Amino acid sequence: MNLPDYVTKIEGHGVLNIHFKECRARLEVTEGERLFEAVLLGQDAARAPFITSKICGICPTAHNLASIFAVENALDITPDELTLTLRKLMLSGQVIFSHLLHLFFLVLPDYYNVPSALALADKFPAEYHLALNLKRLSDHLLTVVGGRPIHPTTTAVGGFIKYPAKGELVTLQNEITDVLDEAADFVKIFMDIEYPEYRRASEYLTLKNNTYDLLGDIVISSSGNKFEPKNYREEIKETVKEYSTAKFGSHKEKPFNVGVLARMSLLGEMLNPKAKSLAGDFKPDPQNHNAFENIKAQAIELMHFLEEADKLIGELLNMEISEKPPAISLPKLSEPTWGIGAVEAPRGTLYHAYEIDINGKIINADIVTPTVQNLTSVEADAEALLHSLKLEQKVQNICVIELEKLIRAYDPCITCSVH
Amino acid sequence: MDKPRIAIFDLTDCEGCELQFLGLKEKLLDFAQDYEIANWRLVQPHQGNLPEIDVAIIQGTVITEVDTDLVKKVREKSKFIVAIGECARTGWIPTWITKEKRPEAIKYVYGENYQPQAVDALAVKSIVKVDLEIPGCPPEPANLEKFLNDIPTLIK
Repeated sequence: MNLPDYVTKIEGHGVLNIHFKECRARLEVTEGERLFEAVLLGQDAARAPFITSKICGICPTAHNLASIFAVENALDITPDELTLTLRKLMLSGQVIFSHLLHLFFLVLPDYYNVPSALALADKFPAEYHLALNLKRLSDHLLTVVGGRPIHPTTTAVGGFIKYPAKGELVTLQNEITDVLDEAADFVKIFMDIEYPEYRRASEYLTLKNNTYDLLGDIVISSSGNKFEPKNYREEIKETVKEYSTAKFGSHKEKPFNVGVLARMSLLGEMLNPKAKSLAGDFKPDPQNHNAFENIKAQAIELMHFLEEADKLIGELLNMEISEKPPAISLPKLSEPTWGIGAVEAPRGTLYHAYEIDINGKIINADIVTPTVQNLTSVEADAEALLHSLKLEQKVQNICVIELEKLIRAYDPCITCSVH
Repeated sequence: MDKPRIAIFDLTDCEGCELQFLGLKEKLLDFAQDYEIANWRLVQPHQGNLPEIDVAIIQGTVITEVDTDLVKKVREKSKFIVAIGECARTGWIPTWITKEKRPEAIKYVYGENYQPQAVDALAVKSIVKVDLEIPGCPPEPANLEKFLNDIPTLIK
């Protein structure tokens, strides 16, 4: 029995199709259409965050929170400081959880010449030990605040239905402190790897806040342009292609990149101290873009968000946290209203937009995921990489291996892209 | 006795169920020692032709023809099939759009003139016989661990 020829060790189902003569490659996304936007129609808006978290098992918290922000935006609810800090802590945990999975379980086997992360355990037990300790921590963080690592249960439109106890937060903070040195060793593994070399010019886009915290009221671009998230539809175009069940994003008719490269390039000055010191001179440059740098940037961000989580827990411990959160009652709308929520998911800016009617039901929904925005760039990078492979290397199987490594370096979330 | 041969397959879904296996951490490594893992797309490369399988673990909703074919082939090759998570067990959220409403929903999301890959949204058991179901969205790690421990008994 032969299995479909999916690119392995990525999230979701895609087939690599290379046209050697034309030096082109396509990632044909073959995930079945999941139609979440249509599923949302007629649903209570307050229920949307629980439905949309199921879009993705790798970044459910990002979907859950973007969805909550979208509904709150429509209902004109401003979350209080405690709620916002808890959400930021969840997002930090989400990034650690997702980057760790990608770095260790999906990417590292490519560079350590083993078939899979399970095989890493025999040859590199120390690295495996580091990865499992970080995994334990990220699972614990997401459990303390979100109820569980995958598909949060404590969040709600308007606040939380359960707060973490301060004792749990103290334990968590100690666990972070204990793991920081090990985490630095883990980051260095990825800083020391030599990645394939090629360059092209791209554009980087990210949400910007006054700290590097995955939220923000403005999207900034490496081109100097900026826009408010509510205007995302005028800026980011999605195109349907016949060979893909995921749409392809573009900005001003061109490929662009969202995600860790964009964040580190545009917000790198705000990295936390240990992350900044580990980064050293490394700073992704959109004019000399190389998608393999995503791996290094993720490793740096892993440290940044460990430090960020530590900081946020410090802030939470100085706040009043009641045993039970206050009861939430949602206001009624007097006319159908759109709400837009945007967060930086592990792979980049994630937009959820819903139109809600006077009965609190969703009547229109639009979700734009980071991987959709990056997909056009994946093809542009594949082409640039194919051109850079020296002629004598242009043996087809080497190209296939290198292109699969490129796709993996991107950390595409195909599951999300076909939401 | 040879190691029991297991294989993990994901249909159309969020992949949260299989991530729960990684959540088993050190215990997962023990299982990887005790059992041969013949297929796990998320974690390891394809290993060519799929051999006979003792226990096939399937997650996800049957949505495309590829999903349907895969499930049928897996049934032929496997002694025991386990459906893990709500998508494999019941079809879950994708079934909220019925087959009749599917064309309209496709048009809403993808616009006119789009040729979908999705056919319907079904539970695995509506295509082939399933020997065990593990519920949850995603399943509790403890339940997955118990099942993995039980494998030698299940295939006796």
